[in-house]
Amino acid sequence: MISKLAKHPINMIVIINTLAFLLLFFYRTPPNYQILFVGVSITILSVITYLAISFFNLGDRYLFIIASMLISIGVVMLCRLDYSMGIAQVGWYLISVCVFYAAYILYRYINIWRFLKWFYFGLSVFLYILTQVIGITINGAKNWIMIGSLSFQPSEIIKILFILFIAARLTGNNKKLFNLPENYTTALFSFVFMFFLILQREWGLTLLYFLTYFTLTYIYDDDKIFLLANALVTAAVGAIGSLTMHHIAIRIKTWRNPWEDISNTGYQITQSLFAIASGGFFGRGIGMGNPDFIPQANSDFIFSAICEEMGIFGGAAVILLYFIFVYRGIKIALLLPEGFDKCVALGISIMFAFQTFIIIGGVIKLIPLTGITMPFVSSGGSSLVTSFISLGILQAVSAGRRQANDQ
Amino acid sequence: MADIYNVYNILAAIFKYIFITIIYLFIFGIMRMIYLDIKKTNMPRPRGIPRGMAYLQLLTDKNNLYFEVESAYPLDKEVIVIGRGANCDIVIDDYYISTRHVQLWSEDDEWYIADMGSTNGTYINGIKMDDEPLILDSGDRIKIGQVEFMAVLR
Repeated sequence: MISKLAKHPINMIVIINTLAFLLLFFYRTPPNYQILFVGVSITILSVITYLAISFFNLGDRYLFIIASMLISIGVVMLCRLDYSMGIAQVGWYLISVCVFYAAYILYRYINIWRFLKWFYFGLSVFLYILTQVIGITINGAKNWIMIGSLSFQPSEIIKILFILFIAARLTGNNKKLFNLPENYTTALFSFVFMFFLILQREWGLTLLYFLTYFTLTYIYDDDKIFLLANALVTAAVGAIGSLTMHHIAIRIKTWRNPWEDISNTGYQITQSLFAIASGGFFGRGIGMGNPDFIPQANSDFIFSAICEEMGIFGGAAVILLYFIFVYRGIKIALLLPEGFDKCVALGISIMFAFQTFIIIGGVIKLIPLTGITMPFVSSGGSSLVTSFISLGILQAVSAGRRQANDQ
Repeated sequence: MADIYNVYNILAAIFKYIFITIIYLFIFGIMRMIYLDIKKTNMPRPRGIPRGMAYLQLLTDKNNLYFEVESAYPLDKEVIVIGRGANCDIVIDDYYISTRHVQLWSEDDEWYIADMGSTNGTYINGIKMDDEPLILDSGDRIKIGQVEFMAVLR
């Protein structure tokens, strides 16, 4: 009986939460009772949502469970780094789960999403301009809006609008604009999205948007010359950027040799590498490492902190979790009939895959480091809420929609 | 060095192995579920059974059985009786199957199953069923005697 119960993945989430939060409860003396509330609430949220999905047949049963495992790992790490951050993250998790249901219901039962492409574009441009006007600067990038005491990053929400926009353009009927072929107009508007990101100095997100756009175009467009033109234009923009922008040049320089200027520009990446190396195979144990040395260990560099305390095996497990998640998303897309929903499911899966690749590749010095968040794991409300909106849409797509498919 | 005796350090050192084991078991569990899912949905429709007709798919390996059994049985009547007796709709000459073992019938677009007082019982998804009839779902496993079937209803 016990072995049968322990076999089900949702029970493993309960076990790992119980163990990890009990351990963290004793981490600092005197024991902090809030940590137990954190553990209990995160477990309850995950279990209830999972049960709701499986009992009411709300589509795919694996996506949410993988995401909640990633959330658990993330919150354990954040609580270990800083209690208040972990508690804030659980608050965001609660909001995100509500948003997840809302996105699910809105996307599944209201069937207008493939007609709204100009709304997506307009709203995105509006949000970009709003950020430029009333935004505040954090870490050298002007991309935050303050609403009361809550800070909020519009470029995260725009990710979803961008996918919906591209999907609507690629699968819908488009009117001819400016006397250009359809795919060139799509490219033009997509580059407008990226142009605003470059203005905000969000190079990581620009790369992410471009890779998503490029992959979707590769899937939906047979025009090889057009694809080549896209790649060339982007390569040119990248080359100009790295030659003229000082901080991109530094990023590339520290990527090639971080040891040259270890105390200054190479500090982040070398600390990250030290942390990963000191973890070894099984890590030093939760609470036993020194992830405080890593700058921004809570957001961009959380993967290094995980590797230090849970080891290479822990880090590989996190990558594997993303891998199954993306696999599942693409599997859902493959089973769908041709159309808008299929393109959205593909876009969301591709974006998760590239986002994970860019940030993990960055912190292990595989590619130049660009600061974007790790979906579901990093601290930060905008990132978590956006990931859960995407998850809600994917969940709704996987549940199917009979009327929508026969247009 | 006094830190070594700190209880927390010892616990953390033990738990790190437990954590990693559980996380990998979790990944393994999910992959297994996905694999079973794919296997279930990808099983090809056997020859000779028309589209849209429900059927029973044999899951047991035929080579290990000493008696004749088909790899699939169409559910082409309103009421179907499975048993060892010659007057059953599906005859399986297994020593562990009763003369009239189990009955399946369709009613209002649902398939029902009821054990007909068999000696060795009928197992649905690994659980022995009692006298109450049950509604079958597509993908349910039905075990009678030494053979196991999967109900494919769509």
